[in-house]
Amino acid sequence: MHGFIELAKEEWDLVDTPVFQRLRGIRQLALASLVYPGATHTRFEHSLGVAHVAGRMARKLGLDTDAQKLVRHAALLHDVGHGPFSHISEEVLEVLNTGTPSESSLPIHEVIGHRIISSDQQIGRHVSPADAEQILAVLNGSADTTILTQIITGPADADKQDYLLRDSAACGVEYGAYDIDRLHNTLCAINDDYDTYMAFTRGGIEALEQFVLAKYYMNSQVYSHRVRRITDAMILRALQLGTEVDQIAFLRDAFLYSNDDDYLRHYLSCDDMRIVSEARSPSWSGTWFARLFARLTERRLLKEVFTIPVNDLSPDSLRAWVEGVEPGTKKRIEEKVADILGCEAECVILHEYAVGWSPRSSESDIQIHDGNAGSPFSESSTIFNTVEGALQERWLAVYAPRDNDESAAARRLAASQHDRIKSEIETEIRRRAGGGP
Amino acid sequence: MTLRTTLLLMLAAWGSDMRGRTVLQKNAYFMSKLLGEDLGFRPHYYGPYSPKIEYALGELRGMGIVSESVSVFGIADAAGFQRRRYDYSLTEEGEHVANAIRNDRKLEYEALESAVKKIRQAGGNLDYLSLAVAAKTHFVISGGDSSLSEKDVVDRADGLGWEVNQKQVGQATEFLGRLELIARD
Repeated sequence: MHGFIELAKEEWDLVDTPVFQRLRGIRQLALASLVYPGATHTRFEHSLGVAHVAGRMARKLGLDTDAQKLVRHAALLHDVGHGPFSHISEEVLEVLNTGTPSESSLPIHEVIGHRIISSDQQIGRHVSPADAEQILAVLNGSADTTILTQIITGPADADKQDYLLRDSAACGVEYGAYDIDRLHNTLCAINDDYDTYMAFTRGGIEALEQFVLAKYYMNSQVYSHRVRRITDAMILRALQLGTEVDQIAFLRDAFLYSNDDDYLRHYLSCDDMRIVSEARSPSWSGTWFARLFARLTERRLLKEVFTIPVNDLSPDSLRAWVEGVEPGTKKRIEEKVADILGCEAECVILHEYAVGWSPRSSESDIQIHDGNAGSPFSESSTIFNTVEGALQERWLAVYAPRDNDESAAARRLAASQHDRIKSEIETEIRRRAGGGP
Repeated sequence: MTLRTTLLLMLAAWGSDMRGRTVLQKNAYFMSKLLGEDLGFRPHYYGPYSPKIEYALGELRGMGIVSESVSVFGIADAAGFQRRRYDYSLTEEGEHVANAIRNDRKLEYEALESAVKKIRQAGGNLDYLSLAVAAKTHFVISGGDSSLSEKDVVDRADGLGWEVNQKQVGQATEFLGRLELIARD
């Protein structure tokens, strides 16, 4: 992606640690290869790419050598806490550990990453406790200088810059292409008495717009691709049922978070390969974990049988979505849909999603600096608002098995079934909100 | 309450268009201080900024609960770029949802309403730059540097390249005093 990437000796030392090498076994896009066969790239090469891009940005921004080194180390280690199937593990951890006190207000997967950086013995041979603390400060946004964090985790950060290009190339699409050289060429820093911030000169607005478009197209065409949503939902359901219902020991050890020392060992023993391999083991034959992973590996995927924009729901139902629908309500909806379709409820998945929105991803407050004052990118871009609005649209989908229907037409639901599902969803939500029959 | 519920009720309590993203963020910041709630604010060029508030706003927009309208303000510079402001208000569905939640969460809504009233009474029609200066000043002071004088605030705004005059800065620091978020001489 970036040509030759050079690493300093201490960076090679970090790359050669077992926790970093483990990233070779965690795919960047989980099972997106079921849609895009070339999407088999891993967090390993992505982390190297982010370190390279972060180093370029740090040099262009005029950071001193110590700050450059800190940023590169933080970039190398930023994904070291990823679990199997990348972001799906994050969701599994959040779902299975609701109400479990963690060490801080951070999401559990970030707490795990921080524990690895601060306590892994191999990393500790090459990163002092003081340096580990600085790396963690950069990653969690509490660094003394804001610009350090913005390089790694912000709206135009090195992480995003690498994965848009990398994912696009791996998937064999052009959507993620943008002019990274022009973007870097227009990087600048704004200082005040207390802090330093990342900004772009006015000449970079078009490059930023291209970057925003790349993100939009990758989100809408790749990351939110229907089949990818379905495979991600199936992996999440398989891991959740495997832990909670099948009570499979190695899954419980890895995904039920604990502060004790053994927990990290169990967590780090899991990568994509182990999960897929274990799912084939006779030990777990007949479990939901094995059955759902068999569907994935044999590509007998669930189908999207229902979809609706959230704002097409009744106002009473909308209220419940604003306040958050309880897991119990979602489960009842899935059971009702299973009754309608004549299938097992465990294989029916209700999924709420936006095309591509996350707290980190908004470019609205990227600063454009014209040498005098800064102004937000959102105020200067003609296309930003349109793209941002499209990314924020929220949808509700239902995935279910349709194995017995041979033709695509038969697999599509009859209009009456579609209306019944919508009615059941709204009824259950209103019941939860106290306004239903 | 979820953050999007808090934000929805805040917009309902505000009662009219929230004019501009910076204004929304800064008012949410002061609300969080008055209510003693952590809404995820962290350092930013324009003062404390919460990606979580941005995300919650996006969710509410995506659900059709909140509408965003864009106002264009002439030509900003020789390159021909126009400056834009984004204004937020509840849609009809948003009003319906807010009323329903308000009826069930009377105590929480009254606290929000009280905070909004205090901010309105303290701030009048502070422009977004003055609000940003006030928020940034408070963020720094609450981070430990309580020695900032009004002159420091003026110098700091100038250091950012902001064309904020002493009157605006004076208004901003008085605003913080009326909110009882800083001690006034």
